[in-house]
Amino acid sequence: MEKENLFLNCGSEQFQNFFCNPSWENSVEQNDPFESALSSMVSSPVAYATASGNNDGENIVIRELIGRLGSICNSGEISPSTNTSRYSTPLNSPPKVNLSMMDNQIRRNLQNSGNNFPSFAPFSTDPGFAERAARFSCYAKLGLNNDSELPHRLVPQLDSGNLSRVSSNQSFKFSGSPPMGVQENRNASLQEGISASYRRLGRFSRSSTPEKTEFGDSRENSSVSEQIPVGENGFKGQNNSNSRKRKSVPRGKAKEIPAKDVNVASENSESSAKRSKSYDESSIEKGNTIKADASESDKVTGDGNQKQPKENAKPPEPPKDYIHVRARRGQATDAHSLAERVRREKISERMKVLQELVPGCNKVTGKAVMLDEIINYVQSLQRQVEFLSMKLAIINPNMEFNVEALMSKDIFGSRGSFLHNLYTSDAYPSQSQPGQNLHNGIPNGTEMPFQNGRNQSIQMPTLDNASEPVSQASTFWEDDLHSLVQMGFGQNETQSFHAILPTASLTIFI
Amino acid sequence: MPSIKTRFTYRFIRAVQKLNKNRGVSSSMKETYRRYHMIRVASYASMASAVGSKRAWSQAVLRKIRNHTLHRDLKKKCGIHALIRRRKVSENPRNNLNFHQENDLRKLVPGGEDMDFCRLLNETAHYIKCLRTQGLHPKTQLLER
Repeated sequence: MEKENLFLNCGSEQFQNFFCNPSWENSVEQNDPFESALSSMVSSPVAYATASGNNDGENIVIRELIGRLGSICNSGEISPSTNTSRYSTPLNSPPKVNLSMMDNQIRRNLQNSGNNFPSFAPFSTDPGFAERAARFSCYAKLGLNNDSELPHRLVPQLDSGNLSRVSSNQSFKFSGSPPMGVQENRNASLQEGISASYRRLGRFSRSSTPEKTEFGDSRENSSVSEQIPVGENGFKGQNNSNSRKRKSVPRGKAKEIPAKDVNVASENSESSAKRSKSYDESSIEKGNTIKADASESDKVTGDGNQKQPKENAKPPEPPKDYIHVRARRGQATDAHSLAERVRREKISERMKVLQELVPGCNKVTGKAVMLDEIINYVQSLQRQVEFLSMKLAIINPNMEFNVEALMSKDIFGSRGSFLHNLYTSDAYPSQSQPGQNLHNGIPNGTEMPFQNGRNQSIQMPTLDNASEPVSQASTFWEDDLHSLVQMGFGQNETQSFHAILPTASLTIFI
Repeated sequence: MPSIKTRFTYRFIRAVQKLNKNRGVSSSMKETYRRYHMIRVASYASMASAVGSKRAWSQAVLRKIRNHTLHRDLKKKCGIHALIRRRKVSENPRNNLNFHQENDLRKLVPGGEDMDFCRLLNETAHYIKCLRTQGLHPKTQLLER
């Protein structure tokens, strides 16, 4: 019997012969470790088969095989756990295909065995396995042409490609999405060629599914990245949920497919895959005819669309060299407006960057107001530079700079150099006269002279009339500094120096 | 690779030192004003050279300074290339969305007249970052001593 062949012939070649599909050979050849693992796994039930007899033995054996398959795949989905670590690496590449093949074959075997045992009882009793089976059916390769469930099989291949794209974009914890990344390159060329047939099949399947109306509703508000779990949500009756609502929901529900929804879920994903494919088509071909196709059946909100342009522009699958921009719904799709939109997005991106730089711009929205703020900020910064350079010119005409001391403030924050410089401040009073005069002449300090920009000359008050206030000011300056100096040079007080001296200088000049 | 901040600080301090060495003790108004001007130019120049020629605004600053020292009257703005670029920029309909403010911004950012708006925003962002370090960091330190 075939089943006994399956279980008793543990060699990998026999597996290949059993599956007897030449198109699978390429993938199968790469899986020697997997094959050996499978064979070793499969060989153990042989003991059961021989021990316990005919149908019951087969029943138990098959159930156990299915369970082990499920456990393998489960360990592949979740991050490789300790006891199944040896299965994790073989599962990283096309082995999912083999699993699905095994899955099909097992099912076929179960069906062929003439319903000796309820063929789906083992499936349904293990809800986890049913969930996995649904996923595996999605990951079947294109080579499963001979399968009777044609639309069910073909479209999921697209689905896998989409899943990989989606997962790369949004890092869904969908099972098998990492392995699908490997398959993606191979599938890409195939996908382009069979897109038309997918659409046809999609329509066919759409008409056949009883939940079509639900899908229609659920599609209306969905975006590409959410379509696959959205299908399940739609099935669960959340027809009227918005795209916003689905954003939180699908992530939680991505893994929870109830057992009885296996078939429907797979068909959900199939039609959703079709739709996501049509969305991608529109992004690739800048959506002329295909968009018309999709638009007649779908309406997508602007929200959903806004997420797409960046994400769909980035996936690696289109084999062309120019930048892909997704055409939004209801907007012109000619080259000019698309380029305009790209440019506008660039500008808004940069405005956001600027918004972070300029303090106090978070509440402000709108380009014009933002620009005003930016202009004000740049002007104030420039004024500050001028003011400080003015200060420097006045205060430090002859002061010797200790470069190391100055730089050491960055490095060590030393206070010794500070004290050293403070000693030289005795020179201040004599040279502060012009500074004082300047201060007296300019009420505002910064505003007036620097108002006209950095290329204007400064109106300086003359020294002549200001002898008395100068002397008073200079004495004041001197007193101030002396008081500072007299505060002592203990370590504890240098902190206060740091605090006081800047304010002192500021009070003088403002 | 030292940061822009340290590079700028270093250059600026050296420039001011050189300035103070060359100038006399004179504290006349004129002298102070000239010193102020020198310090300001030194500040912008050291900032621009710390940034290098990677940015359009730093290039424009350095160009302006060099031309200013060489030919006092001739401004680089009148160079033929700049004229051509500016004409292209002003004729481009894309660049005049918020006419008034864009022009103001272009006047503020050095070299801003020759770019399109998108690039202008880029340059403005970088310019703001550098202006901040220029204004805050070394000068306040120098003043505190």
